[in-house]
Amino acid sequence: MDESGLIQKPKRQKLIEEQDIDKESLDNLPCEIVQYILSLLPTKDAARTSILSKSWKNRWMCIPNLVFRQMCHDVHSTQQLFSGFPVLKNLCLDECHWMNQKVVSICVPKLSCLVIHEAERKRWSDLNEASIYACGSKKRPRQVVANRIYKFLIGFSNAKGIMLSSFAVKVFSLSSDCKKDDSILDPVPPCLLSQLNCIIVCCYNGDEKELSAIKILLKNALVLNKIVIYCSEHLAGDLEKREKAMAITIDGMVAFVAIPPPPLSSPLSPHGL
Amino acid sequence: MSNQSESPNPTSSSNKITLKTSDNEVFEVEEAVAMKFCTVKQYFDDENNNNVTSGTSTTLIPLPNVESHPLAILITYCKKHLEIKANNADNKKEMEIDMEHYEREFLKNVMPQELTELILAANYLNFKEALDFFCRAVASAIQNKSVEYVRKFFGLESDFKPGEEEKLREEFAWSFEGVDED
Repeated sequence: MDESGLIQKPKRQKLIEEQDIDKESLDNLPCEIVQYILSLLPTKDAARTSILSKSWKNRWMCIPNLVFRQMCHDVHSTQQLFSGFPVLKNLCLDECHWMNQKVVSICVPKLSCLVIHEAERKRWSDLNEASIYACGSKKRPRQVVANRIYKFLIGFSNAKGIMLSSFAVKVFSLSSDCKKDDSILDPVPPCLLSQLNCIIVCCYNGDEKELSAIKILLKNALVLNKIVIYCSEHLAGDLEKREKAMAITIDGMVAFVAIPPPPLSSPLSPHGL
Repeated sequence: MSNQSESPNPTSSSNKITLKTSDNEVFEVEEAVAMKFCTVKQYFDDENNNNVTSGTSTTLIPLPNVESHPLAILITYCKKHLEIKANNADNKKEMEIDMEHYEREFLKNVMPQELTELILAANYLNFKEALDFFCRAVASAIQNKSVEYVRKFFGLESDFKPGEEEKLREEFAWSFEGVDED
């Protein structure tokens, strides 16, 4: 311990004596403790503290994890939201309603993990090590999902690894936007050209669309040196299909087909915080 | 809650450590309790290093940043914490259940207003478990509560210009979903 702190008459004590009435004020707490308390709160409760007083207005923006669940945002507030967090590391957007926004831009310098979980069980995500989970739904046409995933992929110019659910893979073969007859994505998402060296595919069922989609990916990912394919439980139980699926090791590429499938979990559970 | 330390326990072989608060109250606590306060432990260790020959027990440690009221509460909490730990030395899960139960009861006797000074005291003493516990208590006192409620219970005042607050409330309208009635 700093002994001088004991000998000196500390300033804080004086302050407390002088303003005895304010002793209980949360404003007396050191910044890092307030930040810790805010980080324990669900995001909307933390955000609401910005209305307490001027000094609280921006405090909640200094927390490392944010989870937005089932919220409605208009364009203005969304843009403000996603450009004001200096230390945010994990951002999870769970079933948020985007009110017909065409563009959502996220400018968070320290963000290392982004999970977007969309309504109707469609999910995609990430940055440095991207993972895109997408599940089909009756309500949303696959074409729309495909285009959005494709655009999303274009945004990850720095992603080195990427994890795709089998549906996310499949949409590559469905999107006319991103596929011409020669199976070259046009334009090729920049991460495929320069950075992406590992692709992980989850819940692979071994059907033809998935197969052709994986071929498209392999053709386009120029610096890829590893692709790991996890079978779905269904495929894991079907020996004949499995052998066929394992035959996709093509063009000198090593494909690991792993059984059983890994849990489709993200580092940030939308319900955990 | 008693401000005075408990009467000395003759069967205990442990040393007593005397803590003196900013309002000049003196607390005599068992070494095991005092050692949970890392700040005290550090001071104590330094003292011992400087004075190896001193074999006798009482050391007076001044705590100029801590008042007697929060210290008494922290000592009570700390004793119980150690007791629960000792009772469930081989069962971590049981210990957690007991601790949770105790903490719930404990909070019934603590006003939200007291939490700030408890946090400051726990922070100064570097008593990690208590600090974490009181921070969690503040968080759950804020959760789902209206802005007015939080201001009232935690001594905060709005210093926004007229209109500013309304604008913020509009901007953060999404954060008001599920707020309890006061």
